[in-house]
Amino acid sequence: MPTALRGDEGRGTDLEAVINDFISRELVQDRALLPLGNATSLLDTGVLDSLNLLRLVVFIQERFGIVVDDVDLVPENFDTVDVICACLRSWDGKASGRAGGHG
Amino acid sequence: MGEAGQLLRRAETVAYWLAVAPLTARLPASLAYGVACWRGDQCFRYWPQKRAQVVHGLREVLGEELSEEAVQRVARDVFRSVSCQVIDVMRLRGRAEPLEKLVEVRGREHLDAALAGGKGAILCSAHFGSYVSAFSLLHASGLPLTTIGRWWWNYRPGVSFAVRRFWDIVYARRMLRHRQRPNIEPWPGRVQVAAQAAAALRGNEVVTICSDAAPLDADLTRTIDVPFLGHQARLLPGVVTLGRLTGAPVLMAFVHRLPDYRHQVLEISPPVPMDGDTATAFGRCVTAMDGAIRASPAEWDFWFEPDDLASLGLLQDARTHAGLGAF
Repeated sequence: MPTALRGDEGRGTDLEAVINDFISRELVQDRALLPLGNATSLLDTGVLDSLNLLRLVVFIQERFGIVVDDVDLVPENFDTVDVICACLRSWDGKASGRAGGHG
Repeated sequence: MGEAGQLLRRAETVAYWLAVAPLTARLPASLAYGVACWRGDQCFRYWPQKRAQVVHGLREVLGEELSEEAVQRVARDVFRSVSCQVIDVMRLRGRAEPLEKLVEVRGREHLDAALAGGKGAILCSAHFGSYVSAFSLLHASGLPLTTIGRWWWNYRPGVSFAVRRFWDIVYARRMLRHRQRPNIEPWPGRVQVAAQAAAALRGNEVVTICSDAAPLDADLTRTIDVPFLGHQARLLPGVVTLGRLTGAPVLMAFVHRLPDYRHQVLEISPPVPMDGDTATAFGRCVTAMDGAIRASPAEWDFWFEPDDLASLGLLQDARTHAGLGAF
């Protein structure tokens, strides 16, 4: 099991629900976008501007303990809830691999 | 200015940045900055279009505070100030000692104390005086420093490859030698900007930002109206949000040129209180910028940028844009 995405949040759609809920509550200004689809582009709809992306990154760090590396801070990694969650699982897997040493 | 005049102006700019300023900057400081002031006076005299823009901006924005005589004097000093800034850039060679010995830093202890907190520090300034070179001095003195700011020639349509290369070579290259990372450039579509700044702060670095930046069209929905230079200006309060989200203290920093034109003082404030709503907290930063500019109006770059004054809401009619980069 990855280190940060422990418990139910790491499985299936639970992670998507947590991320979707945060974005819907804290970042979406245009209520017409709600309910937010997990495949809706956050960039094309203007949901993610610079400071909102930072809010999301801070949330990810506080909630899951995952620090997003500089090289991963590219718009493509935050385009949709689905993409964000896929990246989170990938980054968490890498982090647990490093932490696990001999694995 | 006719086509021939513009061509001459560009040739003079290229010659000054490529040859005259680098050589002049190696002269004793009193002589080097004397030459810069002389050049500023010549530009003031023989560049009537730009002079008219500067005078117009001063009258429109500070007209009630400055007599007509003062407007003319400040306008001439604007040209001197910008010309001296070029010499400052050239004196950043090596470990920046040629410039360092001319700049007194006051309030460094506030910055050191802020960094001791381990969450980095945000230096908030304005496009005022030799702020870019002053930040370079801080980095050269051992503080890892990164700037949030746009190079005007980057990403802008209509700027030729040759122009980009020129400013990269004569300007950006000299600056980036004294930066921890390349500038974090907040152009439209670059949504990673704030997160990149947060990453630098997480590494306990200093991040600089000029909060008087004119908002781009894409930023207009995020501006707030604040009292600034006697008007209601549209400014972006991102520095407050960045500080709050990262926990990094925000300190104000302004560099002033002294009357001899060669010595400067960089003043760093204690942390700005971030309590209250965003407008209240940001208002404290704006008040500090306002005070610095009113105390030494000639050192604000935006007199040279009427389009930016208009974007800020300080000027009703922007005149022909020529750009500071053309100086």
